[in-house]
Amino acid sequence: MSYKRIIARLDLKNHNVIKGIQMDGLRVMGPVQELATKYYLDGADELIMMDIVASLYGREAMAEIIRDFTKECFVPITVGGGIRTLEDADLLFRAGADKVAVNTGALANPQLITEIAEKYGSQAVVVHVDAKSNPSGGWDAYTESGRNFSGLGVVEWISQAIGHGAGEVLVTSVDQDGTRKGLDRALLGSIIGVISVPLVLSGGTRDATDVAQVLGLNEVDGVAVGAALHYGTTTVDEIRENCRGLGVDVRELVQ
Amino acid sequence: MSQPRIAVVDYGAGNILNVLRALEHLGAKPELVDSPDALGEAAGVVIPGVGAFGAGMHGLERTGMDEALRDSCAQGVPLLAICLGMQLLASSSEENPGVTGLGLIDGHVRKLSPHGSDDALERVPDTGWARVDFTRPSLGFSVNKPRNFYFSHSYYFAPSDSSVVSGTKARQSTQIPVLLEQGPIVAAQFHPEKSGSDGIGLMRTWIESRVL
Repeated sequence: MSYKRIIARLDLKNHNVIKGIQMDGLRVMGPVQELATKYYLDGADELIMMDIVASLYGREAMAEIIRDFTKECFVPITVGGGIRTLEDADLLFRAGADKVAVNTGALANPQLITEIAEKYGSQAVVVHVDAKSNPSGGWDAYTESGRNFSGLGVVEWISQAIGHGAGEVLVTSVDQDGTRKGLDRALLGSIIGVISVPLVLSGGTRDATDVAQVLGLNEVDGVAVGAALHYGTTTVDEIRENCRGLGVDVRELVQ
Repeated sequence: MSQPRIAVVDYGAGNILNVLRALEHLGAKPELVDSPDALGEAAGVVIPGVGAFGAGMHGLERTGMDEALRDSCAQGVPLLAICLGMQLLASSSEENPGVTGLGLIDGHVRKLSPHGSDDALERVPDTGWARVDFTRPSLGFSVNKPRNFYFSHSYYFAPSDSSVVSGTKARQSTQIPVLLEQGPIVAAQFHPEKSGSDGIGLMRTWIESRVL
């Protein structure tokens, strides 16, 4: 039986972790190696590194960041941002990524998910969905870090992506992202029925209790926390303690 | 610690870089090896791996590494087999029936079955951190002091002789074997190179107590 996962999420621009509100107005939080190493030592179960301005700079820079990180940090990492081809994914896996997250590239060509899954196994392909609420009460899937509407609803896209071989779903609420107003329960409620693979929710973590409550839901495997960790609103340790308090099964760190 | 030369078997499986990194971190001298000659006088051998059983065996057979590994084991060279590397030690696997494994530990590789209930979902592939219970003192770990390791698998190794099992993890209210020891062989279903300080600790103990 696997534990629920407390995941540190780092959105990157060049060698810095950045954070905006609703993916806009980006501020530098600190150097990626420094923050990533801190979260590893704090006991994050996994790290997500998302190159959110991927189209603006080269894949090789991301590979270099992963190579540096994996020299001294021994924890699973998911890497995403700008993966358009199997070769993009190859480069990141060769650099030390355990999983890759695809979004825009997979919406343009869903076969990309299948190609990566066939080569590395479905557990290594995460479909990353940027979700925005629409006026009719549903959720739409966005591309380019929440800038463009893909034309697909979130539920429809997730079902398709799983059909193509995605082994995990990472859903980010663009509406809540960076706000620290709380994880998006309404979004979660709308997608739970279609998820047959591990589900990670991201965007808007308010505090440790917020994470623990969502991890307590049977259908949720992990929560990815960005701003709330970067700004020091909470810590991996505090989240773990809150999970224990609510009886959520999380990894125990033994010194 | 002196710098033991450790051969890391390269047979085309994915993500072996992280094993090299972990060995370097521990002060060893890892070397990627894809031919029997290159196995040479290695002080220890690691079979890493992510991928499918059939493709893995094919990769070993193509280069003659299958025989070389059987020889090296017969000579008592310490071997650490990880994930798919562990499964390749078996006689056969449900993943690719008809493919003969290395047969270094007697047993078969079986598929995990998915399982759901109101209070727990157990999916396949089974990916994530899980608790390992030690059934005997092993590699620096003790009975009654479980530790956590990172797993990513859809199959598991069921050895014929249960006395080779050193560690298990709970799944569907049974315990599946995840750490085996037999003669010069240590085999782990989890990824020590991805399991933080406990995983690195296991590899350090393996080097210090068996390789050096």
